Amino acid sequence: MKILCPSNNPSEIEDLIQAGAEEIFVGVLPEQWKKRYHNSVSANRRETSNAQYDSFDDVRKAVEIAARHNVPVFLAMNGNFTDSQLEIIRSEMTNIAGLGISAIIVADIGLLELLIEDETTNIPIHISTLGLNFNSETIAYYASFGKVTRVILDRQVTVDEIKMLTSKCDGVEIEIFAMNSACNLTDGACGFSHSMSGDIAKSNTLKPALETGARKFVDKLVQLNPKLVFNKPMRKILNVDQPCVFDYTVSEYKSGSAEPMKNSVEENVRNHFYNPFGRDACCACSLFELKGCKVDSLKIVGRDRTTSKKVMDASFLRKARELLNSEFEKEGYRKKVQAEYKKTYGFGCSHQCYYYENEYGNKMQVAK
Amino acid sequence: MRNMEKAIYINHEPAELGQYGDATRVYFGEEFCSVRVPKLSDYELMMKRTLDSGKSFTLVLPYMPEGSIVKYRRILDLAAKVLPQCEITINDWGVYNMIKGNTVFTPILGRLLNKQKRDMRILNHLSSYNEDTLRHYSESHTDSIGSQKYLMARGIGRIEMDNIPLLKRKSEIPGSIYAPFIYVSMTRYCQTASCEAAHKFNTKNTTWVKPCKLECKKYSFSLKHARMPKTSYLYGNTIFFECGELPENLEEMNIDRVVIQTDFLHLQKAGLKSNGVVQELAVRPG
Repeated sequence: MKILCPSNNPSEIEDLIQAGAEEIFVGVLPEQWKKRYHNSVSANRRETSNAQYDSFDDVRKAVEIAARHNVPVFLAMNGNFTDSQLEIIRSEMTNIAGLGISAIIVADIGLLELLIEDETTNIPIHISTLGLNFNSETIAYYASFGKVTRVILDRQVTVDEIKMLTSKCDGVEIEIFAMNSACNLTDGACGFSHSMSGDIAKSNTLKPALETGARKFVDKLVQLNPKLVFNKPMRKILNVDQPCVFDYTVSEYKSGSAEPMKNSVEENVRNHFYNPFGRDACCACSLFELKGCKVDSLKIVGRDRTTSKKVMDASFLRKARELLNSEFEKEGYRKKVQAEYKKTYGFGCSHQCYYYENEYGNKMQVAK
Repeated sequence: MRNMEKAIYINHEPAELGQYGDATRVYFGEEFCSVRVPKLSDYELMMKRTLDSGKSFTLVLPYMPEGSIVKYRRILDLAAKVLPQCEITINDWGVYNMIKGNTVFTPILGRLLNKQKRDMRILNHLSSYNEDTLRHYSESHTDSIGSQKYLMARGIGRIEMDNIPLLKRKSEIPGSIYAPFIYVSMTRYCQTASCEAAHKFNTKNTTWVKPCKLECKKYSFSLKHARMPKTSYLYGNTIFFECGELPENLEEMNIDRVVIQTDFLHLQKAGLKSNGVVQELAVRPG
């Protein structure tokens, strides 16, 4: 289980590797792209400028730094492209191939076709989670393309499914989501944009402490009084530009049920959407169940997060993985990991589990 | 729209086809939720009814969790036996992998794998985005030359799509357009599941994963938000928008089929405004 870290600038690469990153992924928009499209139009499913490297030169620098530590760098190109966008990518292919990246993360079938057909470019392909990767048939399908070396599973698979899929799939690596940006919706089947405004400034120009401080503040509030997060003022503060977590006004109209049931079901649906707990989701407790599985890579998401957050995530995940080598039983492991979480972040685990199988009995209730 | 094929889409429960005399094709099966995939016997019944009515049949399956492979395979085996010439809607490349050796089926690309940009907030930016950006929001990735080559090489004979606000299309592969609702997003963490449960806010009760008792049979919801220019609708695990009138240049866009989602007719019965699409195109009693 390698630790895969996100990055949005070359100056953080050393820090990430020191913290535990064994693989790194980045995104960049070609110059032609930036000239033609508003920055809500992304080539890699992050529609804000703060998730992107500034240039291919910066990516090259990151690759050079990472190479000194034998750490591979992957390039996210997991948008879905129109003809003119594919043309831009095609024109940059020589440039991309010369970056020294170890793989390209792909979702678009047109780009997949281009990369498979192109005999001059031999970059291995990772199939993005946007490929809707839930089952062994899908993995076998993608693996049949020779250049596909890894498939990134959907966020919404279960621990049991990860076990099954990793036992069935030979010849292709399996990557799972490990930290941050869990989503209420299925990414590979979602037609919403992450940001239609796309005007968020590069977050590394902000003081890194700001994000950590704000997070600590919110977590402290949650611990003191969880209801606060669902109260009106906090809804306004935490509401972001993403329809998956909008604070919707919900009206039930089909059943004709009377109050208070009507109010109750509406409130439940409203809170299902407006749920600020996905942002810092974590899979650490689930690693115990996955011990011995052929999970090749644990993905930390959040290219747009601050370097300090990424460093904390990598070092925490490294520690959680090290703890798997101890003699702990499941419960002992969980307690130790949660203690490590508090030590790393300065606040306790708020039970934002990526994979729902923990002591709270939130087992996945989906069709098998 | 003289050459437009009319299809009706029945999601879950087998229906008598006599009431849909105007339609020449029947879609049957769940498109978005793996829990609500009809029983094998229901698929069989609908295949036989379709066969008896002289209409054509399109089998619909949603995305495929690992545990559903056996069930989906049985449904596909049944289709191969009863209606071997039917269309199979591919909403998961794993399903394609299961039928790729079968030369009698016609695979068509389902809406889950057609990544149109369905976010209605584009309507807030029509005057501020440049032409290239608007074009990005109007086209589907399936229309690129590379994508078409990829799809045709795999025998994909049709692409299912939504009537998004700025819809533009240039493709050699014929398309089907859905009415009266546009699917925008879906989830395995169903929002409607357990919606009747008593809610208690605490840090241990923030899970998105809740037991499903098919509450979607009873409840549907409208969702409104100031930043969203149109009301969206939550039906089970899927979010929809009501679509506008169908474009006049469907033929030019190589769209030759309209698929009427009969499951949504209750929305109009519930008093929502009608956009006229259903009245114009579909479901006249035979």
